Amino acid sequence: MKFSDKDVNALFDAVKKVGTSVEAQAGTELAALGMYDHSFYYRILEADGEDKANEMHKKVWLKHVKDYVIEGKDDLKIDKIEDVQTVGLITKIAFEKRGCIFDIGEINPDIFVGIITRDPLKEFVEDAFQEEIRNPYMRSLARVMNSVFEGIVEECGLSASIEVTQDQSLYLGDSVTKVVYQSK
Amino acid sequence: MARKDVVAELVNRGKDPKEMLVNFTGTFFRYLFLAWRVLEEEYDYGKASEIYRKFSWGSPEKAQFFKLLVDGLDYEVNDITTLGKAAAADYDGFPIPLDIVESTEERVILEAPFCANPSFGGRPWDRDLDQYVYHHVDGWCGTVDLFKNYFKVANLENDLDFHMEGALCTGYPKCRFVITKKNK
Repeated sequence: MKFSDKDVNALFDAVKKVGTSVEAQAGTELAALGMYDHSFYYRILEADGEDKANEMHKKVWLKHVKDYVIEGKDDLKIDKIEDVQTVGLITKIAFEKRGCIFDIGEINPDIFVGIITRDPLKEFVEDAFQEEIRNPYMRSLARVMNSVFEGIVEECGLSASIEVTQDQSLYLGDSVTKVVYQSK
Repeated sequence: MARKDVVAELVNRGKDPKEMLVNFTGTFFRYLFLAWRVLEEEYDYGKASEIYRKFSWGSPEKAQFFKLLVDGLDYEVNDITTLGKAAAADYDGFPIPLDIVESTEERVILEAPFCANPSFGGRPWDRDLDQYVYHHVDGWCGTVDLFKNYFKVANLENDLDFHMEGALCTGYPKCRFVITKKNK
């Protein structure tokens, strides 16, 4: 998403005026995202139970998928998405825009392996709210990420030709989250 | 062992801090809007707005973080003027520089000529109508909830009142918040 110069300059002016650094403010935005995703999940859990919280949590993140694909195409300066590699790069761009450390394990015309080694959202809720892996929220995040990976492929119109697997998850105790897109 | 700051790690990997700030700000405010959209689709207006307000600005988590900020200030927050200063300090984190345009024992007026929401929350493909309802709940009702949270943390719930006199996201030229002594 390209924001207007006027808005971007106003944001930097605000950062300067409050006397913080660009880096510190970037970290604050990620912390805010972690705080509100966590509280969104738990308010629904408190109101309507864990199943509903899981369902709504997934819906919120799937809502971002349309943005991811439009913004990824814009960043990559392409009109059409036709292969595994491009779907992988769009996924990398999307996760980096929310502060994840996303490495490419393998990329060729038939397979893309994405490896997320850090997710600031997960790290924030662990530090601030003592969230633990395998808690309802973390289990939900693991499912959410899988749904987002699948959702990106679907939004790209390539569900019939690309298979998605997530065989490791940061939120379930693995050292990384690993997503594999493979041509069927 | 404390984890290395994820923003610092991204900078070490060559990411531009300014670009990250814009992306993370956009991601955070986009999250809030999409969370509202999901709640609105799932529940009636009353329940959707109740859950939104309880997970966002009126949340116990937000109060928890304001308490941490208050505990770190070099002055005690125990009356209308110090509450106004502390509110401005909290808004610095968004980052929304609040100008304290009046500060007396009877009334404190805070104004913001800039807010990252709406600028960074909307996208060209969103409907104005959806944005407007969201901004009413988030920007107008949410700000009231936030000040209620401030009053609660400072133990001034029974002493202070709050009036919204403007919000940028609902079409006013500035956000304008007025804290007064409560009529007893």
